[in-house]
Amino acid sequence: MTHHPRRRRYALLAGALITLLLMGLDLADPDSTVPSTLRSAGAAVTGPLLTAVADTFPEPPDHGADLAATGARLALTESEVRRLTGIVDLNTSATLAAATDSAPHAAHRVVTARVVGLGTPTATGPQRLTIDIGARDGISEDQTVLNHEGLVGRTVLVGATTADVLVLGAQDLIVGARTDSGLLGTVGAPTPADGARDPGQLTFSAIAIAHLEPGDVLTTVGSPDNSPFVAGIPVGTVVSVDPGTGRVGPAAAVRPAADIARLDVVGVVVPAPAEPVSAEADR
Amino acid sequence: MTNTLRIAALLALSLAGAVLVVALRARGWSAVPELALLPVIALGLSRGWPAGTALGLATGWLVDLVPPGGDPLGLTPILYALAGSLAGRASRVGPVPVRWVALVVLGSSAVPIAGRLLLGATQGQQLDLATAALTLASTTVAGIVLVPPLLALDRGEPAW
Repeated sequence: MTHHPRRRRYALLAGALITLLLMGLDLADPDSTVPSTLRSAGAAVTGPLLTAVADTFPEPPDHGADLAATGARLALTESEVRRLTGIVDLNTSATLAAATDSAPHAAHRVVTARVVGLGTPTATGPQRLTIDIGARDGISEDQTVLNHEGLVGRTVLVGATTADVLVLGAQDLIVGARTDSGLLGTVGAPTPADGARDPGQLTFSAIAIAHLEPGDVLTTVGSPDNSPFVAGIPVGTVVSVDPGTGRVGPAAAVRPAADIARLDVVGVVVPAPAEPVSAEADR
Repeated sequence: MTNTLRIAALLALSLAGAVLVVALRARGWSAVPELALLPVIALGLSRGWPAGTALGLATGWLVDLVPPGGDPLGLTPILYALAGSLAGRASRVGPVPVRWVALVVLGSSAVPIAGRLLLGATQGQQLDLATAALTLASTTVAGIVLVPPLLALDRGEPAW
């Protein structure tokens, strides 16, 4: 063996070791600096190329009306959920806003986007997708992403012109949800302990003993400051209830409201621009 | 075409394949073939395992850095390097029969698919075996069509 090939093989080995190190870092902490920087750099370089390729595909059907309806429902359901749960929305309380010298937010607005990329599927399916809007369009991390059917996920990495979305069903995404009857729990990717699930199905784990039955609709509970999730967005429908296996509350298989593999147009829920305080808002 | 240009051309084709696959998945295509892997297999078959491993590592990084990126970052380079290495071990002098190409593509493309399933199993995920099998089948079919011209490109022979 000559010296030259040996040097190449050492370089190859070094490249593999560095790759393994980065993979370990990303597995240990997905928000660690080096993997995040690499992802951002990749998005900055190849994002425009991806958007250009996506633009060559036929125009999607117009979902604008559906998204407008979703936005209206968003405002209604959120106020209803807050009334039922007694949660005070700091963003819409004019009294608190006046006390903190900041104008209240009317609620939210939905910025529409097109899905331009769907990530390499893992063992359970795609974990991330890319949309064609980014920081220039007012998008930031930890914002709710939905389509006209329901919850899609939350933004996790925002570039100038594109943003990555962690989709419902990803291993790292757990969503607080409630049934029509008010039963609270979490929705996430199934584990082998949940028993057999059809591809794409999720698991709802209730946190209290209550009756759960197929057909129950789950909606988001909402997060503090509406980040990452606003309240009242459909998450999915219960298709079957798991037999009791020693859990505190019942668990069920859930069919997601939004079909992640068939997404085209989505909306990102961003805070609406600040508006002046009205007397009506404070009642 | 010089040696460097040929490798650059294969790398560019891998990037085009990576972007196309991500865009096709976003349009609702399921079980899309791993197009970016095919130039890696072709180079491995043409030049042996060190070249196949090196291009696999480089191509894997391209795949992982095209948004929304690999999860975890770095898994695809390792799996593609192993796939390129396997294809390189199957390298032959002279013409490569289509049956041999099919076998090598099947074996090599099984590496990243099996690797992701294995990682999912160790993380306690439920495995989507049907989509994995369809991806393997579609990659093999695409490989039977595309690897022979890619081999010819690397060897400076007429493609068809």
